[in-house]
Amino acid sequence: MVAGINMKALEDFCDKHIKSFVCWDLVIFFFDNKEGLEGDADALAAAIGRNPEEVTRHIEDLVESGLLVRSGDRYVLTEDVEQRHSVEEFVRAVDDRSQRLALLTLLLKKGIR
Amino acid sequence: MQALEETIISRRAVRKFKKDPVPPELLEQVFELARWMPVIDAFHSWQYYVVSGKKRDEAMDIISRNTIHLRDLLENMDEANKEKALHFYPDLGGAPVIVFQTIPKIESEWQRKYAQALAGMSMYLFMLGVHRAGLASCGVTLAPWIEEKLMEQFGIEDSEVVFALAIGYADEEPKTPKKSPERVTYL
Repeated sequence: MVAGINMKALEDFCDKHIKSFVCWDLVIFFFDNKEGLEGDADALAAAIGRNPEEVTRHIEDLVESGLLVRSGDRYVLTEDVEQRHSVEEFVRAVDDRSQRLALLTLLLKKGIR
Repeated sequence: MQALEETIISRRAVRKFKKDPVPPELLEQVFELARWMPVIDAFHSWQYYVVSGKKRDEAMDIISRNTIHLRDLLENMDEANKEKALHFYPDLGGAPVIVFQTIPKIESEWQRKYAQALAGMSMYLFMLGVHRAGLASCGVTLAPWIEEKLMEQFGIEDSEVVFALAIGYADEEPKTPKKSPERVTYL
């Protein structure tokens, strides 16, 4: 377990933002690529290895839940400090082997695909 | 010929591995077989990278940031696949070795397509060799941005990953999958 990770907060984060494993992949991608990616959903889909239709749908989910914002010709992570902190906690959990297993178990139990 | 047919038909994608390390000489035998890929040297552009130990952990942690390699399990999410996903995802089923196959970055679309096709054929020979050597493997789908991160991590420049394979001794016996007939049109 990673010290200092609040599992309840992580569960709340997943309930609110991680509606699918495409959302998971998008959140990690935007965390690692803070400047976003120029282009539309096709470019993003090509980067994360998914098809454009599902990426379009799930980007909109993340915009609606307040994690992503449109900035000019690209999507980027929100500047909101609290949201950013919750993304950091999610990424920290994914980067830890036991925590990512716990996360996967949690999401599979919820029926996330 | 029967031995070849048996090797081809009995190979399975294994997603749960024993902790036992893979002896380097066994892998050398497999590369020796892959060397017989039917292609002239001028078209031999692919390169294999073998990672184990600490570097394998580094690679695995990068790969596991993305979930694309679970896609086929998640698409048919019954209890058995859930179990498999949970075993495989955190550390690629405990595979002690990951092999990456790369080709150089190529501008020309047709040359790139050709290089990828030949590399894929070589990788299939390699996979059969792994199976014949008593080892097991599972292809690992990588998102392109994850491929780039891996290349960066290992200081490999001007290359793209064509294929990644988790390798080790099997700790499960996957069922025989249903296989659709080949799509063939006789003209």
